[in-house]
Amino acid sequence: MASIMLSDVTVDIPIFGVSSRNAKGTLLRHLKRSVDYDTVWIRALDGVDLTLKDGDRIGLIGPNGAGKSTLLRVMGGILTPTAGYVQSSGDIATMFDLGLGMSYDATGRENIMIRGMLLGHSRDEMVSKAAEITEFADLGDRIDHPVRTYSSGMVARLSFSISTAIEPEILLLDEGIGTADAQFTARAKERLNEFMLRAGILVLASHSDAMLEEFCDQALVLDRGRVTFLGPVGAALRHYHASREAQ
Amino acid sequence: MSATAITPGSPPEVKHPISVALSDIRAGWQRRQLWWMIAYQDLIAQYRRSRIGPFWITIQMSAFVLGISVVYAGLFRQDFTTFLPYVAIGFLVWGLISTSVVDSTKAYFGQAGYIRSTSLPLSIYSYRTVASHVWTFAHNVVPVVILLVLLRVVPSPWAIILTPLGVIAIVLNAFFVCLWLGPVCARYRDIAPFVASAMQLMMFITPVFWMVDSLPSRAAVIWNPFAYFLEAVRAPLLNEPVRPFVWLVIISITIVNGFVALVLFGRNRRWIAYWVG
Repeated sequence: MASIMLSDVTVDIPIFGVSSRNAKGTLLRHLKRSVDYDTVWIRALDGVDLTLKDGDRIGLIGPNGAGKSTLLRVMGGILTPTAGYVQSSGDIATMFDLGLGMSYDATGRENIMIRGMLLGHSRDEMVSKAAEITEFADLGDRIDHPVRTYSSGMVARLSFSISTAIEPEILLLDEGIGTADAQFTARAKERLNEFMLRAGILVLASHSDAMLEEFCDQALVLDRGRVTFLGPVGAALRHYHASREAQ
Repeated sequence: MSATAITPGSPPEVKHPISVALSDIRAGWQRRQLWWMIAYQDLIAQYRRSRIGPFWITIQMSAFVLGISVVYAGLFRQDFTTFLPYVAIGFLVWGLISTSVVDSTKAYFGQAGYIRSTSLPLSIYSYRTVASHVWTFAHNVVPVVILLVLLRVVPSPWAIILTPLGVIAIVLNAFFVCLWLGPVCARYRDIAPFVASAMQLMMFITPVFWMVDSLPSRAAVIWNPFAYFLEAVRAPLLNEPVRPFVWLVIISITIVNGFVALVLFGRNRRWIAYWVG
């Protein structure tokens, strides 16, 4: 059973200035016993309470800088909250950067292994998935050539195929995957649907109303780190657009 | 990742830094296929850029060793054929020690992309850094072994145990240094250049290419931790006795280094993703 629970989660992100970035500056400040004016703390999340269980598909809505990515990172266990706590159970796959771990000197097949293992799979699992990934990416024999010899479309197809081949219990997606790819065919769309439906819990941060309505049933609206609305996706989008127009 | 039951409303107990560090190190070890593969890819990438790959570094090192040996054997009035293996082994071991320390400063700082988008155990970045050094070391060993055979250097029978143990001690300490120094260097950006220049200075203070007996004072050897690791690996290969005191110091350093690594890594772990950004 997959679940994530956030209790009164607050995240303050330090933005270091030149002297607080350096050991010398920090040491001098301690010697002078002065206050650290050089570090600015940004409150990225402010008292977020949320419980997700198996079958939940939730969208994150909010303008840039509202805390969507920070919330995903907290859920994924990448950022530890500065106050409050997170408890989760189940395999979590975080997909914020499709090209992560893509080595251009390595072959497509080697990249399947690396990327798959980065997403938490074993080598053997990826070996057994390699044929299917190659077929979907439509790479044929080129899979054993270095990725640097691929066209940009081939690279995009490969990374999309690898990322959607895994079966996580909890899937955290930033900005939907593959939406930036112009060659987004019906076949790819179908694969993406299946991939998202397989996950026990889906959390999707997106600016696309269509995408949110298609994949999520609940949505959470964030504004400067605070949850301003949590409910059905249609109502959440209406709330979000109304509050944007009001400003 | 094991499933743990959730009791709503009860905050998780705060774990001691050492237990935080140990569970991360254990989880990182379970992912050994991943970091070993990434380190192997780094190596393969070097081979793809040139046919002989990391042996370029080996050739560079060999040329340096040869040049230094000619000059210093003359300066110190040493027999060239006994001096050459001394310097060759010295340089091989120093290369491992110095790159281990210097590269540990980049172990986390250079990996922001991975650290901020995956929830992998953070110790894998230390494992990966150390694994890369082991690969490079394996390449550099080749010409040194050839040299020892050609010059008919007869190692002590103990070398078969003591020399590998010395190398293992260096690798283990390199891993610990990565764990505590790596995250600190992600937080304070002026430490890395300081470490790099300090290690350059240490190369001259450590008996890499000069003999201890040539100096009137032994201070540079007694107070220099690196000198002990060097002696532990080199002396048996040259059929010289290793003082038990050397291993006593190495074991003490390893214990202290390991303790510092567990405490600091355990305390800093939760901040690493904030610091690398």
